[in-house]
Amino acid sequence: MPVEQTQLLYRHRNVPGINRLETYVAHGGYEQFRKAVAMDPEAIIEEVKVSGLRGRGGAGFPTHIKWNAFPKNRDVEHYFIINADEGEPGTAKDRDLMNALPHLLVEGCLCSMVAVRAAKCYIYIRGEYIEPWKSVQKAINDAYAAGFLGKNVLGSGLDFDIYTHLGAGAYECGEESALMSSLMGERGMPRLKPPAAPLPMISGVWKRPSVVNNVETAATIPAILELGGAKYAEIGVGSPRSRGTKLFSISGHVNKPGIYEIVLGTPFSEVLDIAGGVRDGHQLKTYIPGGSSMGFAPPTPLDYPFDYEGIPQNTQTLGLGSGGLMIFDETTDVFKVTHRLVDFYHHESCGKCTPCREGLDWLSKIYARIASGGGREQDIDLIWDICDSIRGKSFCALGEGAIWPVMTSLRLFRHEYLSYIHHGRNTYSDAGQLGA
Amino acid sequence: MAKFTDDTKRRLDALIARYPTAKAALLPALWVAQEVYGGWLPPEAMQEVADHLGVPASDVAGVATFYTMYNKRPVAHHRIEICQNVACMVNGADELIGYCERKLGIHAGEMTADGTFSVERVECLGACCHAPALMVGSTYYENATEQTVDKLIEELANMPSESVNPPQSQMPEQGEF
Amino acid sequence: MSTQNGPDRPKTPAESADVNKVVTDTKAAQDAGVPMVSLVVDGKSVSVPKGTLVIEAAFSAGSDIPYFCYHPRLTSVGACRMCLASVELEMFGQRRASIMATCTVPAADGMVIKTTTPDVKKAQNGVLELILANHPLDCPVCDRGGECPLQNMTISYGPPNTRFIEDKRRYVKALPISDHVVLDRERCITCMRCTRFASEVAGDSKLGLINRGAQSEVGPFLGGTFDSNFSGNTIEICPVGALTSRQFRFKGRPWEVKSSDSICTKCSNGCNIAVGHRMGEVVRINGRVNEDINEEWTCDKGKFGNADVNSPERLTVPLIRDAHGALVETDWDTALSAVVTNLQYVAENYGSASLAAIGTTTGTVEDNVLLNKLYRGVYSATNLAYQLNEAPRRLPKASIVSVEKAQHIVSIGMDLAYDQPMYYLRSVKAQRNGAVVVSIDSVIGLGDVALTPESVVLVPDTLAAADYQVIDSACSAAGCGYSVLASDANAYGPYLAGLDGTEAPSVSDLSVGLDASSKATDVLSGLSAGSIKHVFVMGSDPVTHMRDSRLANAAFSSDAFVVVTSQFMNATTAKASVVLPIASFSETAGSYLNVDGQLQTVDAVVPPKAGTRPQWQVMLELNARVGNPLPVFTPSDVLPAGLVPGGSE
Repeated sequence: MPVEQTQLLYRHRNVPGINRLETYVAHGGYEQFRKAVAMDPEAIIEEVKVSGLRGRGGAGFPTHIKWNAFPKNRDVEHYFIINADEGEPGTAKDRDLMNALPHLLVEGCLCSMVAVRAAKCYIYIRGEYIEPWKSVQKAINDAYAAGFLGKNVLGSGLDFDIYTHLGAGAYECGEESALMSSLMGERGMPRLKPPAAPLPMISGVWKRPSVVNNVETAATIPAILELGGAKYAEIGVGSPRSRGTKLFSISGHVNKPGIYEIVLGTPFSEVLDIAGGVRDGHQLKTYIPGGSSMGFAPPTPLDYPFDYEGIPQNTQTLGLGSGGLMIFDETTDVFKVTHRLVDFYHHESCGKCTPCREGLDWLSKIYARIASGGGREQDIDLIWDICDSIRGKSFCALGEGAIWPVMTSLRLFRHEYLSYIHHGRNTYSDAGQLGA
Repeated sequence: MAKFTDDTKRRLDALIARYPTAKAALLPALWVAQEVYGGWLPPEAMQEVADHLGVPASDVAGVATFYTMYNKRPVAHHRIEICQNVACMVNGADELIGYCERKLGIHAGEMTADGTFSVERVECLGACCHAPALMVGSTYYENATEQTVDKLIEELANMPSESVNPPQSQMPEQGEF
Repeated sequence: MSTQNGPDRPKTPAESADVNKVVTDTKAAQDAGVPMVSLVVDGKSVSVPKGTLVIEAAFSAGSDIPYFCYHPRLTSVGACRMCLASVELEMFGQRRASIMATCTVPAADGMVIKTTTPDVKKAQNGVLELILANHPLDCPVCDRGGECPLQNMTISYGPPNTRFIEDKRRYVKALPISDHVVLDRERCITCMRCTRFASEVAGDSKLGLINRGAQSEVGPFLGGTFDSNFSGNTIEICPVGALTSRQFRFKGRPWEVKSSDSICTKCSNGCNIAVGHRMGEVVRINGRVNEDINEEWTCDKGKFGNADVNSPERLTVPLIRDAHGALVETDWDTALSAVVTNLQYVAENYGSASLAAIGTTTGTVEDNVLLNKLYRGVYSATNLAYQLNEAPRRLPKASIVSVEKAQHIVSIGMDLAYDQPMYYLRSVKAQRNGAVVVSIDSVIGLGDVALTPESVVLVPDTLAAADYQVIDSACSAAGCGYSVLASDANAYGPYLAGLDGTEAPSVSDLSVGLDASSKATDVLSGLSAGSIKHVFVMGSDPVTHMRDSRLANAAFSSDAFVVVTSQFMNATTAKASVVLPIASFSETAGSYLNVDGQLQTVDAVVPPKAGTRPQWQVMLELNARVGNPLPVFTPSDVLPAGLVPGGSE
């Protein structure tokens, strides 16, 4: 019996006009905000705690811990910040959510703002997402008109303002501290974190209490309030620490690529089936479970719980990440895919710290040399050593994320590297079939 | 020659009002400046932004050069930006880029002699589930094929860029707040 | 493998300065009652004030941690990752050790730091290999070579060879970005010391980061220049040869350059400097630590302007006016004889009231003492002056160091960054701490400034007398007072030398304030009226600097015998009867009282330029020639009792 795929965020995803306020309200929209605004902030945080919600952006940090770190008063302005700088290769869920369900995001923000005692929210949207940005901004404008935003909202005595802030092309701004730099009008470079600096919930943007949450995390809050934390926590068939549903962008060599809301812990084989399985006539070679920074997974096992704990345990990758599942069949040239990713991270490195800036520059040059037939056997050890000089030494997680696909591809597909080194091409894939 | 009009300044002031500091409005202000300066940011544009926001010019240059969507050189009317990242790559992005290059007779990163088109390789557009994807102005074209490109180039060839792509900085008006 | 390192590795002067700064800060924090935290570094227990960074705690424990981007006077960024060490601490309820950048982590109770484990060594090696990957290794033609932190750290901590066989990043070499600074982006390791200096210390953000990732580079605003009065400091703090001095370019290898302590005399601030000289020639000026004055910084006027000591325009031969009225070269004996002959003639025939002298506010206290001994001591002359401006004679209420604590700073009629560079740098510090800094062009704008008793009002010494009255009444009304900031290196040195005729003059007299009359005006009036027949102008140029230029011109166009000492020709030497070429600040010993009353004594750094003589020696000889031989062997022999130099240590 396949796992029943409860739909929370996507329940009304395909209702025509759900991006409009009237339709959204007609389907129960803003009811949870009405509830939240009358609640004690602590009660909301408690529901979120009981729900077991973990950040949907990549790190999977328990949401309630962040929220609980805020000062329990409104003595200074608190900021609730949405990370809509979706840029992790393989991840497309936030774009879909903002295009299709902008009011769900706005309502999620409002509920969250009550919990963290924030009157101001900034939604940081990546520069390429003009359409989602317009969609969200329209929803915000309509929410103002409907009285869900503005002064003394719903007679609560509380003010709520939401602003959109458009990025301008920098993957690094998806890193929460770099996002805060960017929001303050600086280069999108990461900032010091504990123990080197106070928590952002104590001193974040403009040195005031701030939190950065992913689009999907905020959009999950109304569902948690509707069901109650305990009920939400019952959803999930895998690890006791992976609760609820999660949006997965399933791409690559599958029959039905798309964005699916999947109950956490659903066996990976079922997840694959939901996306129509590996494209017809081909076999699974490898996959990246949660966005390119997670690394490559071996084709077996297939029957393990696809969630925060199950993925790293069964695939030796970094894990679920942002839910960008990329499927690769036997035609895939893994060396070439890795080369592409190395160039991506090289392009996106902010340049602040030596390991990431210089290490990725070097790796990019080595991959180019190997790809053009100039590879040497000792390059494999060299690549590994460079990864080792980045691992745990770079300023932020970008460096770490960059080397994970490199190291996992070396571990699983060393023979493809050697093929390039010895024959100048990949004899293990038929690259000519790509895109067929 | 300063190009900011009173209207430009009014728009900038409205942006500044959204944040606790004027500096925070730098990214949106650069979007406005890029629009005012015809799609790119010459040093004079950065200087005007610096002057209006009261931010050191070197900081403005630092920010403008950090983000790839601020153009530091004049750009084509229609920029065909094709995602080259993994999900698109394994679904034929390289072949599609090659097709565009041949069709327009330019290499990726170049623009046609008349300045109408350019082809650019860009990183993940967040359209992985509908790969390959490309973007022209603010519009995405997903599951793109050679036919998509043919049709697009035909349609765009005689159109001014504005009628196809609303300027990216054109903020939807917010309510009165 | 790398060479021996560890606690005993000899430190470079820059590293020692950094460690000393940590010691100073630690002591200050302890004095201020900051709570202490205890941790263990390489097996040794240390207690440091809360807020101390782990790298600093390691210095205190005597451990050696290599670094590039860390600088004790800049905010930490954790960019270069060279200072990695194993840090064991408790976070989120778990105790574990991990490799961390020690320049960003504050020391905390119970931490265990290890700087020499194999993991740490490997990490340091790895980071250096990456830093060197794109570095051009053009050390043979790099001015930094020989005193380069990157070279030093590579010898001590780096890999023995490189595995980098790819093409390196290429940029245009030796790009001049200002009149003083050359940029080589190939050598840059993007530590952001220079950019942080520009935004945090100089406060002008004239240098920034542009582009990103591996293409990141430092530079001035696109198409602009690095036009800051503090640009030279970036040369000194650059840990590689990316920013070098155009003036010092290829002037010699660093180890050929001897360094001697001195005081900059380009303005009144009295910055402590290290004069670099090679084969008797001054080749560069570096900053030297004095926490009460310049911390470790210099301004460009001081750093590069002092090159005028090497100028071919320097006077090197005494000049005397011949029978046709032309100034012609002569020898020292002839020149000094002419001075003595006239001095004795005027004294005998017209009396001491016909003798006058103008002391030096740019030379040393001792120069003035010997001038005083000659004119007042031997000839009982009383027409002795030195003040060419109309400012009240009083040390400023606000010292340099006090300004960084100010909340409201008002500067009137000055470009603070150029006129009072160290006051300016402290005002930047104050501003970073939230102070409001206002600069107005003239007293006319004073009405728009809301003064409070806490306002710090900074005023130059070049205003008209009436302006001081306006300022005085505005500041009295607000109850804040104001500070007149002298321009010259030794504005009150002549007073301390006794030129006013005061018995036992002291610095505390100056804190109270002297009477405001300018005796220079009397001297000049006497000259133009013909009552003064002989004047000795020591090292100043009244024709140029007197506010009343008509009076000054008339005075020096009279028939009086005018002796002028100077390093260069100027408007006053042009009217002199005898011109004596004197040594520069770097060629003479002596004491200076800086703008806020700190007395500093220095030695000569290099021999006087051939043909010139230190002013004090000239005065000593004139005293001897008129029958007043003095047992003086060094200037300090004549420093008045009670004047204790302090600042230069």
